[in-house]
Amino acid sequence: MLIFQKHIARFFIVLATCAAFVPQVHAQIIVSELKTFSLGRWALNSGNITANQNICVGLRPRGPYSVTVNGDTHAGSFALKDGLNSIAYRLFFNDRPRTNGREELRPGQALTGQRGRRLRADGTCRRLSANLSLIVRESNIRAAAAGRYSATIVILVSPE
Amino acid sequence: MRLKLIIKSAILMFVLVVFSSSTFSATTQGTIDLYASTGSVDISVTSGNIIQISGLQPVNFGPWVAGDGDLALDQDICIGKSDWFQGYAIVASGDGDAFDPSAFTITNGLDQIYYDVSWNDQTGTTGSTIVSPGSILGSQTGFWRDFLYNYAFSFIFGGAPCDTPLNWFGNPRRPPNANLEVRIPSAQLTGAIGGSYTGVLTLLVMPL
Repeated sequence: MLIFQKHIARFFIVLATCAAFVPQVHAQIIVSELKTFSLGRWALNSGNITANQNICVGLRPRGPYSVTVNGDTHAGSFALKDGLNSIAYRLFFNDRPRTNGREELRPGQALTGQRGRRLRADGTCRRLSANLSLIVRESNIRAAAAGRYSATIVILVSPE
Repeated sequence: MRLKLIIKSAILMFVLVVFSSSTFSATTQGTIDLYASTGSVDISVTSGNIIQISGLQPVNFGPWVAGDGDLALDQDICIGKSDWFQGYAIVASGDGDAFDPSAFTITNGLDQIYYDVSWNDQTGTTGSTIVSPGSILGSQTGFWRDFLYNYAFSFIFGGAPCDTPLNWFGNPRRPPNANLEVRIPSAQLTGAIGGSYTGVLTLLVMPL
């Protein structure tokens, strides 16, 4: 009986040891295929400036993720700056490679529940899986002084 | 003799490409990682200065008879610009004559009458400058006054006859900040044959 109890105790010790070494699986994630938005020169009465690009957000294993974008802001909105003046613009994200169904991004606020696509074994995207788009309103451009305005946005994607 | 002068309204955008001297960092790709991946995107756009002349009215002198003296009419108008703190230049051109395509003339189809144009970069005729046809009259200001008016006085009082948007009290937010005067010397009128004389005066404004 005593021997049996020792075996049981050894069994649980081994089991506990094994449990301690079971690897915890974390998702790997990547955001890539990003391109510069060169919006060119705005002409009078040419309306709003819109632009979009399909990008890659891939996970291994596949799962949901959140996206957070930070950048220059003015009065709570994303803004392009020339050093002195600002032009506000709106930024959107879609977890599919199209603008239809996109959601608006707010500076520093996470957009959760995005549907991720699986990565290839080599860590690259199978295909472009998401879309980043923006609108610069004509009224905002008209109100700004002449100049070259620019901004850099930092996109952070994180598995949920 | 009936005299009428149409003034062409000019809406003009001048693109002054001002290149930023700041270094533009490159768009960067994220790397595959646990917990998070970060990439960055650069965005750039170039916008030009916008300038607009508005509030222009036809100059209709009506009939003139010998002994009436010079005919002169002036009007307060608006120069709006996207950069309030810089000046502007203006070029006035008339219908021309055989020697000068920009000469300030009105005609009845046979005979021509010459007129003078004066420009002021504030309302009223005090301090006006006589303009040469087709020549640039530079260093015009008035935006600072406009700026003050926009953000202080016009908030309450408004101004006429310039454009929208209206302020909270229903008055035009942008008041006049320039003056155009057209004068026909009586000597020109005395020597002209009778008839109805018309012409077009074109005003071109450019941001400096």
